[in-house]
Amino acid sequence: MTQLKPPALASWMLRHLVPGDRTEALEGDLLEEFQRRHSASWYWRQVLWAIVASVAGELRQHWKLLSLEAVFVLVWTYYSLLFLRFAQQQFWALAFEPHGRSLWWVLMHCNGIVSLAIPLAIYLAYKRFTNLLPALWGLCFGIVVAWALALPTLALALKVGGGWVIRWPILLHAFFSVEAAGILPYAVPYPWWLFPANLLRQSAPLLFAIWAAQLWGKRCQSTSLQN
Amino acid sequence: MTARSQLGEFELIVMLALLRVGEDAYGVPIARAIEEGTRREVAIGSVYAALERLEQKGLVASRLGEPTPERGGRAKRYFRVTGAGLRRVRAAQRALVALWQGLPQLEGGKA
Repeated sequence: MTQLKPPALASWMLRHLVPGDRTEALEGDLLEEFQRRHSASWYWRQVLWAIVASVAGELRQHWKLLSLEAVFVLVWTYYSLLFLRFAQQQFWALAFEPHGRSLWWVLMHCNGIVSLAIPLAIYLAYKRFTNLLPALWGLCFGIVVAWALALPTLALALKVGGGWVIRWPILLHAFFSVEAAGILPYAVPYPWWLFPANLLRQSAPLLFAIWAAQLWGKRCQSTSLQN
Repeated sequence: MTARSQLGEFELIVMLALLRVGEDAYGVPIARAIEEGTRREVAIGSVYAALERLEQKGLVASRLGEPTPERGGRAKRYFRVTGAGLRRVRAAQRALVALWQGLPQLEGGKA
C-alpha cells in the first residue's frame, strides 16, 4: 500500500520549529492520522497548533530567563539613552565630520554587539552550555531576523524628510537599538511606539540561540541513541 | 496543594483519556479518546505539550517504542499514568464531586 504524503512544508516546519524531544513521535502520530483523514488542511492545522503549543510551553518553561532578558533590554535601553545624551554632547560635532562619522559607527556597532552578547552570555552561564557553536549560529540567524523586524523603522527612515542628516540616525536605530535615536529629539519627536518592537527585536537573537542550542542537543541525543 | 501543582482542565482531560486508553496509549488513541469525550477536534501537539508538563510533574511516564514503516519509520511514544498521577486524579475527582453536589442549577441536565 502506498502512503499518502503530507504537505512537505508543514512537515519541515514541524521538524524544525517544534522544540523539545517529542518531534519524532509527534510527526509519526500526525502521519498515521493523516493516512486515515486524507486532509491537508487538517495536517496544517495540527502542525500550526503543535508549533504554538510547544513554543508557549518553552516560554512558560523559560519565563525567568525571558523576564531577565526583558528587564535587561529595558535597563540597557535607558542606560544607552543616558549614555548617548552624554555622548552626543561630546561627539555631536565629530559625528557629522567625515572622520567622526566612522568613530560614531564604531561606537554604535560596539553598543549593538554588547547589547546582544550580554543577554546571550547570561543565558549560557545560566544553562552552563557547552554547545556554544550552534548557539552562536542561532545568534547570527537571530540578528538577521532582528534586522528584518526593523524593516518598519527603515520604512520610517525613508519617509522622514530632512535628508540623510536626520535619516542616518534612524537607520542606526533600526539596526542597533533605541540608543541611536537618543540624538533624535533635536530633530523629530522620539517614536516611543518603537519600544515594544525593540524589545522583540533584541529578544529574537537570544530566542533563536536557545532554539538552535536545543536543536543541536536533540540531534546529539538522536545520534547517540542510534549508536 | 499549590496552584502550580494543581491539574488544569485540559491536563485532567488528558489524564482521564490516558486512563481510558490504558496500555499502549500514544498520541493518536489519546487524541481520539479526547475527541470522543469532548466532541471537538483536538490538536495532537497540544496533547503532547500537556503530556510533557504532566511528565515534568511526575504524573505521567513515557517510553519510546520501536519505529514502524506505516509511520514513516518513526517510533511511537507510549505514556502511562504513574501512582502519583492516579492519586492526583482521584483528588481532583473528590474535589469536583464535592463541589458538584447540591447544585440545583445543574440538576436535570439542562443549562
